[in-house]
Amino acid sequence: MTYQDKTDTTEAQAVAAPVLELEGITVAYPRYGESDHVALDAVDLKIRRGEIVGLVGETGAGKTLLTRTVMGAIPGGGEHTSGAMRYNGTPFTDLPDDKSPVRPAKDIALIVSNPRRELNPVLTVGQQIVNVIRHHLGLSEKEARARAVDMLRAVAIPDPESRMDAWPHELSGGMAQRVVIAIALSCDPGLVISDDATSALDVTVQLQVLNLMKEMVAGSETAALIITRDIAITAHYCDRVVILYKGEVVEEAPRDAFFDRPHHPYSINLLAAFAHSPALREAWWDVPPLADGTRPACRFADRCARRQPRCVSEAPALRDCGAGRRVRCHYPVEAGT
Amino acid sequence: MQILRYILKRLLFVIPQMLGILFISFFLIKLIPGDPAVLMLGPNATADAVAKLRAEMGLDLPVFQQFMIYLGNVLQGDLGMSWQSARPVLSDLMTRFPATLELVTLSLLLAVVIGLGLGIASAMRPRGAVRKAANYYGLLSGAIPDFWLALVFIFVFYTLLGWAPAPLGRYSIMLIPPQTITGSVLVDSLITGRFDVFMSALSHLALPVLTLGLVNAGPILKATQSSMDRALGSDFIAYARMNGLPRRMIRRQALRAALPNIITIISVLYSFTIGAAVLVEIVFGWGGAGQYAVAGVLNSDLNPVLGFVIFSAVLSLIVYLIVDLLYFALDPRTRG
Amino acid sequence: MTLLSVQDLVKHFPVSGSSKLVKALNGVTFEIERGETFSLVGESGSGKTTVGRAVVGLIEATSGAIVFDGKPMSWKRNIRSPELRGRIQFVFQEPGESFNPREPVAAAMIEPLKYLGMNRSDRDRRLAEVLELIRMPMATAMKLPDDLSPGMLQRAAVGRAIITRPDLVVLDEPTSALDPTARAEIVDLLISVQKKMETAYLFISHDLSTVRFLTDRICVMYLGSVMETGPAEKVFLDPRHPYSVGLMASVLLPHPSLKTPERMKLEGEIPSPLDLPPGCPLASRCPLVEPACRERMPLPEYPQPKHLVHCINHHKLERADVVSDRFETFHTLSDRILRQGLPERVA
Repeated sequence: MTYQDKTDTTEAQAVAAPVLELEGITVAYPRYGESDHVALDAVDLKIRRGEIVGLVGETGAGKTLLTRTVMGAIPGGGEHTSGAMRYNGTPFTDLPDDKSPVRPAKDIALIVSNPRRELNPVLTVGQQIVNVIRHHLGLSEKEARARAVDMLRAVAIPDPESRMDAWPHELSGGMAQRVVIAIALSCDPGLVISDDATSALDVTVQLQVLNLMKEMVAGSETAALIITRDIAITAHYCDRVVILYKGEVVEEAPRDAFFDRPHHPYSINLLAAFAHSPALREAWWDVPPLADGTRPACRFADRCARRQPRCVSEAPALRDCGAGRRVRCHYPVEAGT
Repeated sequence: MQILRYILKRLLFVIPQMLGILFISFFLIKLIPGDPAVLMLGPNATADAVAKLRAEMGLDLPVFQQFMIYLGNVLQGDLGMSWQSARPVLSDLMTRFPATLELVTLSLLLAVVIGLGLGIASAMRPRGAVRKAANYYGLLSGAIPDFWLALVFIFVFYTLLGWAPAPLGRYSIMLIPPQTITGSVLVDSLITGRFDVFMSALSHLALPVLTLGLVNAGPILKATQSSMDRALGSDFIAYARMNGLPRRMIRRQALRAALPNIITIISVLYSFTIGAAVLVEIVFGWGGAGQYAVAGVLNSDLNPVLGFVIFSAVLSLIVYLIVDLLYFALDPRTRG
Repeated sequence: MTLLSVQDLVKHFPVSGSSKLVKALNGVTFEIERGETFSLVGESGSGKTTVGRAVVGLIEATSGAIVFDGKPMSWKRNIRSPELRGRIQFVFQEPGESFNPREPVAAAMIEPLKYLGMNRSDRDRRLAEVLELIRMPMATAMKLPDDLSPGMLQRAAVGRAIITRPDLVVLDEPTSALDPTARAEIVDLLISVQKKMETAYLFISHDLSTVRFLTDRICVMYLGSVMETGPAEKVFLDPRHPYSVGLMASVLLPHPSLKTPERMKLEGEIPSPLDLPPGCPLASRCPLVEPACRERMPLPEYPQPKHLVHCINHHKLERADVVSDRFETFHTLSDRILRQGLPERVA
């Protein structure tokens, strides 16, 4: 196979301390007269230096919530009830707090999904980059401006000097996305999180932006977390894949191993969405419903083609299966089964 | 260049707008029952005398013709006579309108300081004590009538405590009036070096400005709070936060985004208060333009009313033009 | 037999406060046969949505003609004429927005029948038929839109579209707002509905991997012009327009071995449809561009029967070596993965 060129470096890096370490992150939303809605349940995640990790989940999986939890901006009254977050070994809780030891944009930077809505409409592109650079790096206005122009050039924006004075509404979606990438990388962060950053782009532009992101990360030894609902992106741009379902990690594996043999039935369901044979897809997807009122212990049991009685009564734990793989399933699909 | 063209275009539009405003107010006022000729001559006048005066005043002509005559006069700068004051309306308004403007401008400045300050502070800390206080204040200021508040202030600060001067006009009647230059007593007394008048005017302004300022701060506070809330909840502020920008920069960016809404409210309040300050003017014996117009309505004295309409319409149009230019300056998207 | 014929369709939108025109469509021509799926693909600004809206009569074209079942449609009027009513239906991109949040989806689904003057018992019978076809229990259909997942709502939207037994359904990005699994479910549903009802689809999408599943013929659009039209397998396996090649090459497939091909990468951004220069709209991004391309739009050429290309250099793209289709390779790969681990009852 020709696509295993990255394996060696990944093993070498495994020794280094993780850039980001999430341990048992749990976020709950209190509900009136009911038990809390646990939107993220004990999520563990480690990202090592120079590594690109793909986090895949569909609507409601909690992938954006995880980003927001890391960035210290949990929306809508949710509470970070337990778990620890560490950046290069330094624990942190509330990133945007001015006293936090780990600083957003400088240490952990975010690339957002809808740049035309996230850029301030009344500030020029240049002002927005300069603001971030000046605040975090303490440069003078002139130095910050020079650095901002360099960043715009680095993300392949044509004529960066004049683009500095452009307003966000004058940019196309692809251009705005590049500006956001430039902001994210302007202070040499140790980790870049991309939250569905390319889903709103046209396919040809999406490819350009993804390639750019990969180059920038590789060139600067930055680690990256690519959060997406499109599993195809992770196949080409990530070293490791983590699958999130209803707030839980259900599978984690090195990329090539994952795509050769996904273990968790949900991972297979995700792949099936791209498959061409409707009959096979239906076999995985058409699951007889559970009896009314049953609340299965395994969160995926109601959609699982491999469901057994045990799945309804006993919640599976996230099991280590060696070679850097973990799976949360009583009956995973393993090679030869 | 583009801005200049825009301003010219806007000013051209002022002509039909003014015509429309005049036309509508003229006919509306004519609908009010009451014959000025009867009121001028008193209850004992003969029918012949009344008819003669009516003919002199042109009141026997068809209404549309009356309007055309009035319009012709206005175009020559003649706003007619007020039969109550027996003086030209233009000169009456030249003294009275600045009095109202001075009062309203200062009141709104106070209202902006209170409203903006409380609004921003309460939006930045949605669970803080300021927020609670501001919410009560917003509720109260909407419920309390301005003239009542004025009366309370007079009772407390003049009658009980004696801190404020008697509510009789813009400065002490014992003083010789300063030369009129701008019409604003504060400015004129400063220019002419009349510090006695200046201090007196200041103390006379205190209570009415406080009254109108406190009442008008309510809507500004509400508008600031809600548009700051929206701005702070917007995606780009969340993004700025997640870029680790400091709190004061976040506040500035949010305020910048909220400003167009706040300016709109202030401009509407300003145009509205010119007329709505009349009750407070009466309580303080201010001698302002609103008072003048209301007396005109009550006594079928048509010309002062129309004169007031013209003055406040021009003022509103200027205010709205300034607001549009501010939008231009604030939001690059409107510059197309 | 031709069901719908779109002839030289042009649509220019005026820009408010300016004398400029957004040239959304610049002479689009294609035909749809009875019962087939015809896909319009392209990126934002390609005009594919505008075509769909013109076909259902939501907008009036600047010039050109649309002939449905032999009858020319004079824009807004005839689409509502009794003989056309209910024969063309529409499914929108955002499932939530096309349902009234205050009434059950079933009520919305039978709405089109009311305008056909159908009585109540017939309506109910038709509803039951359609619910069975889209495999939605009546209890689900009686819920409010807010209580359904986006995938379920889009299922209901498909049901509403086919309830009048139309000849043609225009599907405007019906799957773009959905998660990949819900997306594939809708595609499977559309295929099974078509098998039973022989409805023709005009499928509008930017998502080529979805189009690949269900289309008979495909039309690639760019900035308001048709670049290439042909049978799906031809256009996917042997695209002859540089834009189609670039577009196909940009599709990511979920397997690390299926890398995106290096050939014909389209650099740069899509230009604005305001004041397009004459000539081929791709000229600014095309690696094969020649001076002639900038002078006028290339005339249609047919490298193979029924395969139309607007490119003077299409022969340069003919593949000497038959490169294996990435989509086919993925088919094999994914089938291998899906076959393993299936429970006994289905395997």
